[in-house]
Amino acid sequence: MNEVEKLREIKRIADTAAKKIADSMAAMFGRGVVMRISAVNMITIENIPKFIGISKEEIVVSSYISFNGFLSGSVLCVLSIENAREIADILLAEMGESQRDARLILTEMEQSSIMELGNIITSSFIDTWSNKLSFEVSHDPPTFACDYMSEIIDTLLENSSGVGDFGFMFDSLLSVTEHDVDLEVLVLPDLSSMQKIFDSVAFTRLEASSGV
Amino acid sequence: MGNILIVDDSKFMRELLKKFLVPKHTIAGEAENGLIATEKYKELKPDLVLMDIVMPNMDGITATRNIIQEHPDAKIIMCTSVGQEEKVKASIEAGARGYITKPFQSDKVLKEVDSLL
Repeated sequence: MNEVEKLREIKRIADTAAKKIADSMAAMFGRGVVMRISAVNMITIENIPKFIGISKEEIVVSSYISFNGFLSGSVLCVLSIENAREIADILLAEMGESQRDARLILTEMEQSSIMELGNIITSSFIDTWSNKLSFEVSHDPPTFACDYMSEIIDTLLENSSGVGDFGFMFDSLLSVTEHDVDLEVLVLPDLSSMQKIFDSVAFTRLEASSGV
Repeated sequence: MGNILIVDDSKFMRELLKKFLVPKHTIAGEAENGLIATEKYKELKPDLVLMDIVMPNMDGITATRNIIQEHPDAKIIMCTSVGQEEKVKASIEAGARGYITKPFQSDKVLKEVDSLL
């Protein structure tokens, strides 16, 4: 299996995770939710803004969660402020808490709802990978950030020192009823975990094609 | 009807659980980590605790173990993310009486809570 085929297989696993994320959100909020992953790319952390199409000077909203176990690394969800407000509105409207404080970019409850979205996404990704590849991984509580893209990248680079600075970027679109929200999900495994993912994906695919 | 302590580091999840539980039940209090939950249990003596597992400072499994050590009759339901079977097993060993898997659904939360009250 070549690298392109491995990335295709990784996208197939991510598609399963996206379905799980949509089902989770639909169950929680009683609304129709669809999540589509249009592409998966392997990128360096420095190149994240270029791929996302966000300038390093732009302020964005992110939820960051570390995971550890058989695989270690982190999951970063990045949204523009506009998309973060839109998704928070949708999540909080169900709870009768849709009022915005004009003095703040996001209220405490809005920040909490974005972190919970990050939690659902990370849990679903990790769970899908765990089931597909038969390993155990747990994750930490989410960390919220509303900062310049350059600051978020610097923090990622600091956290990744001594480990890999490559990651998988999943271009995602979350559709909740009438609203479409662009969302970037970055899975950033450390170097040895990245190798394990590629090895496991190749092995799983081989098993599937040989009918095991 | 029961008086319930909600333990979750996410304010959003605490609010969501409150929305599901009230008015059938009352909220004894809230805690954002296991350490605060252990203290609040002593202070509030709730009928039941809904306890998240992954939290900063002190996780839900440690908090459950601490509460059960001092209050063996405490009724604690764990709230877990999908695919954390090992943690569910550890929670039951720590003394939890049940578990609910996230994402929460109103009817499932109430069914589990009502089964212990």
